[in-house]
Amino acid sequence: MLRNPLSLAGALLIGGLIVLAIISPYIAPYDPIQTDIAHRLEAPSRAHLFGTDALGRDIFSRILYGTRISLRIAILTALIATTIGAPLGIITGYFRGRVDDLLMRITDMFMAFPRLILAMAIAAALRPTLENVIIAISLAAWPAYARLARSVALGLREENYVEAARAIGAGPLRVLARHVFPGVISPITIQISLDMGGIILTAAGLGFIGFGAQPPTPEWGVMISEGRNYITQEWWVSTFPGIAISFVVLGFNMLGDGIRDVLDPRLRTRGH
Amino acid sequence: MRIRQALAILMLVAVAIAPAAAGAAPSRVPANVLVIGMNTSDSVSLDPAQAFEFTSVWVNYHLYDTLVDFSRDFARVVPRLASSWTASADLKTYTFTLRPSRFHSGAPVTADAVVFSIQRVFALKMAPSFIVTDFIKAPTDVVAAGPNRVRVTFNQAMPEMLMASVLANPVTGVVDPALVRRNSTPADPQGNKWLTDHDAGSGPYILMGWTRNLKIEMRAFDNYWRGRPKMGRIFLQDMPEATAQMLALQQGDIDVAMGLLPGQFKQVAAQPGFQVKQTPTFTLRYLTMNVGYEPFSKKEVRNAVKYALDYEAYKRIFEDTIDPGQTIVPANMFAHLKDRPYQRNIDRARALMREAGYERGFKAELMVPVDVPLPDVAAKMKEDLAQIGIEVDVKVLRNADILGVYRAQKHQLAIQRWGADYPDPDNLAKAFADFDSRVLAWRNQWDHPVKAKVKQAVQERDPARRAALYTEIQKTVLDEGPYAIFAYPLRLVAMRTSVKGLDPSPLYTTYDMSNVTKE
Amino acid sequence: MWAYIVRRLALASVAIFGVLVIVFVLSHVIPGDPVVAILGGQAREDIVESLRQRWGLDRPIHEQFIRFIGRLLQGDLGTSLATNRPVADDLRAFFPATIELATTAIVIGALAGLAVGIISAVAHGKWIDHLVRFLSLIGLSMPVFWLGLILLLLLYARLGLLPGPGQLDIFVTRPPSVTGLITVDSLLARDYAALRSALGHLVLPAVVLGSHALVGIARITRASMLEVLGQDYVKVARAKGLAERTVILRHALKNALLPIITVIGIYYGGLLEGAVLTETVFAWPGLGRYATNAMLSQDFAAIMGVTILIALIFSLANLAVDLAYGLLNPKIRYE
Repeated sequence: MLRNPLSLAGALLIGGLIVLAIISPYIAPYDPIQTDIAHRLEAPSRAHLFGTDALGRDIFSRILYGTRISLRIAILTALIATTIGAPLGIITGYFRGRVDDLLMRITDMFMAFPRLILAMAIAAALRPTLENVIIAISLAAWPAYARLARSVALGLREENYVEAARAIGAGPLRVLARHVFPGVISPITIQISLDMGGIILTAAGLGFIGFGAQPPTPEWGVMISEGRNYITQEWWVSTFPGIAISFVVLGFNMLGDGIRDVLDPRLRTRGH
Repeated sequence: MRIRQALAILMLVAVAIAPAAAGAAPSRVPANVLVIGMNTSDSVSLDPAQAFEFTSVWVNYHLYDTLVDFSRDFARVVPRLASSWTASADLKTYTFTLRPSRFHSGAPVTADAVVFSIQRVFALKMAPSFIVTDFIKAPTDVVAAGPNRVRVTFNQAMPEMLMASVLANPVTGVVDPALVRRNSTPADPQGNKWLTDHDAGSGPYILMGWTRNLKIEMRAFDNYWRGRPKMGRIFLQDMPEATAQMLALQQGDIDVAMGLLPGQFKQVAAQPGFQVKQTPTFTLRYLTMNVGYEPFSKKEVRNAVKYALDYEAYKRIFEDTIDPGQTIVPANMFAHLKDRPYQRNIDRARALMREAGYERGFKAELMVPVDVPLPDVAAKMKEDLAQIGIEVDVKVLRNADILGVYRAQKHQLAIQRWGADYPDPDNLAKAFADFDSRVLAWRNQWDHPVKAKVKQAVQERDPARRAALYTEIQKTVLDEGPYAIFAYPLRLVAMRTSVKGLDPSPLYTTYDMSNVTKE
Repeated sequence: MWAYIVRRLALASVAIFGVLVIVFVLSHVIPGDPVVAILGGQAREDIVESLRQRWGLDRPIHEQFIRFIGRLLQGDLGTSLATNRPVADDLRAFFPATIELATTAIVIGALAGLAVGIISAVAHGKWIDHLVRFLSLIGLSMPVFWLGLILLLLLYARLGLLPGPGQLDIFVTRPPSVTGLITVDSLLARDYAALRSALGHLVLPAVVLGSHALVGIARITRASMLEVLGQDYVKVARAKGLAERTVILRHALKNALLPIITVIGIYYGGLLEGAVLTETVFAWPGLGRYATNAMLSQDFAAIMGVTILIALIFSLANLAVDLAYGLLNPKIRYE
């Protein structure tokens, strides 16, 4: 994986991001929340690398702190979506029958609707906060994981070694845990790594149309949305968060490609 | 090669972010057409009996004539459909004489049409109906006293300006009864559905069409009694994004931009070929405190908040598009009180908190609408209030969501605005000080004896005594009320210098487009 | 196959009904109140109350839902609170703009994506291939709305190369509506000025909306072509001495097309999602903006109507993709 320059770059980007997220309080030159009206909308300078926003807050510091938020959204969403989706998919795919039908109908329901629009509806109902954005995207995203896990489990239960395990009297729990679950890990990992960028973009999109995090939280999507009001003149306010998002999503996309290539070369032909 | 590509991208970015070339691109709009970029999505219906939003009220001002009008400087009442009128000695009954004029359909405007139109307001009972029903008891109090004479009996004495508050309001715009009846259905006897996007008026402009999320199009009415207006066609182009309006104005696609952000107005004003006009409005912005929330039940805490706010900073966040002001009757309105006792004074505020027993502070949730730059104002308020120990949790919400909580009296702190429904202090006094009107005082659970004064003031016929009453009401609200009024917003409009005669006014009818010309 | 289609349609209607229930419940638990949202902060309490009654919003949720379904079965989508018009009329008015935008976007995305993908596959491993992969990753990584803003600023505001937001130049009269699609209508009316204006306005939003589809299609084209190019029959064709162009377009592309068409179909359905953001940036009077506005103003009838329509389009697009897949690949049989 690291031999591919793209995925190496992706790994470096994401690694750097994680480091930044951890050390941001120590290296950020300013408090990301403290306002300074006297220095509002100042252009990038040595004092303020990326300029200041409408409240005089240092955009560089806000972007640094924003890495924590973006990572939190991406990781928690992936975690919640897989925690709901994967077990459901594995169990129903392995046991089939009524429960399986029911799950399929439920996922049909969620998938009969574009993800962003569904997340919009959910976020609107829950009120816009960072936590609810995570919940909304997770709720919109889990069916894809359930479907994936199910299809893998469906295939695995017919495999010889799984049938053999059953034949020597292994209980269903044991079979699921020892034989089916490990088989699901790798496709799910691929799906997650490919999805990460999309999750961040969806969250930013939600912020853009007004279902995002609450100020003064330095969430990048909301920062773009705030900055678009100044884009003709004070271009730095939304340009830098936009670049930051693009970088992070780019990192996840490159990393995702790499992980996919390593874990499952056959999947290379499928889009995402 | 990758380097070359990177350079190309860098160049693109450089072009994109370089400062805009100064000056205006040539206009692409024909000379007899006026194109205005604005957000028209607030508009629900153009039926005069239903229209209650900025856009629809403004459009209706041009589609429908009312009996009377305010002069643009809001100094006196001027004739419109009624060429003259007389009042009874008790100022309760007015008799209007109509001038000869025609509807867009060609039918003459008659006294019956005026009666029909005002009675429709009673029948439909839509949002703006209270403007009529607060002052006229029953539909039968409006009668035709001849083919071109209308008699209106009010439920109280009405000084002329207060009378015009009702009868110059577009809600009383005169509709063509024959046309409305023809387009009514048994389920909709008042033709409300049809009038939503059709025109049955006699005003200077005729509605050509309204394509939602696109544009409202009007054409000059050739037979208008005051003569045909200069601009042959007017387009209100729907542009919800302020930045899009800004770009379209600079590119010459629109003549006028109504919805720029504070900073953008400043930017446009600095460029040759453009001008920005500004005017006070009859609007207030205020931080409201629910008396039902324990800490705010103490007058001292409310006043501590008023002393803790950094009014100068908010003005700067608004890019100077607000005037300072703290009383409920805005500047330029009858009986306005200029007092501004609250200036940032943290020591005083802390002392008041101590006095109230809250020296350790408390927590409060502040709801703020998403509209720029209010979230920024809220962030600053959070800081300001932290200095006196109030730990504020800012919630940025759609205003509709805030209103739901506000109306249910469940808020703690909220940033809100109020625009006068009619240009008389009575409207503001009722809203802010009269608990029984079930508006703002009620929502904040502030039931204060001053409400008796509100009821007394609107009946008072002597202007000096009336002014004195409103002064008293304003002082009481200032000293004890649950509102920290921090701004009288200005209304700004940016346009090409070629546009003449589009002068804003503090009235809800804002700009009179029938006098506009282009060079 | 017909049995399969019927079964799929039945499943889709079950799913859509489920979506309706979810969205209905969601939109009714939203804090706040549509009457308040529409009347604003200054309407009196008694008027709010009377309107709530008039619209039946004071009834329990299940009762409102039953009423809604009853009306729906009679083909009545109800009246929008925010526009005071039948929702069906609104959808008819807004739908064509989105179709026009999405179709242009997918055509641009598919053509450009195919071209880029083929070039990249043929130049497999060379610098141009790496460059394309890198650029496409960047393309996938930029938020659509941000890209739209930057391009608008650059191409419209700074360089004046393309017209600004909206569907037509402001004083160009819209041709009489036959199909609702402005480009088609202006062709029918032989109004070439309107056609030119409409096409000019389409370019930028369509490119922005189609950008993600472009990248996706390019990637799948590349991968699919690479697989096919390695197959024996392609080698045979080459060995026969056929021109490289013929080999690539006639032999390889034809066989690589199956997954590509699938992806194009999937992206076409997915464009609805991008439309929400793109239409906001470009002031495009389409379904995406209608949906956003409906949710912002909690306009129940409009939310439900737009939900049904979007779910319907989405499900049909997915069905069409699966059918096309089967038609192109006889090995697949429908159970």
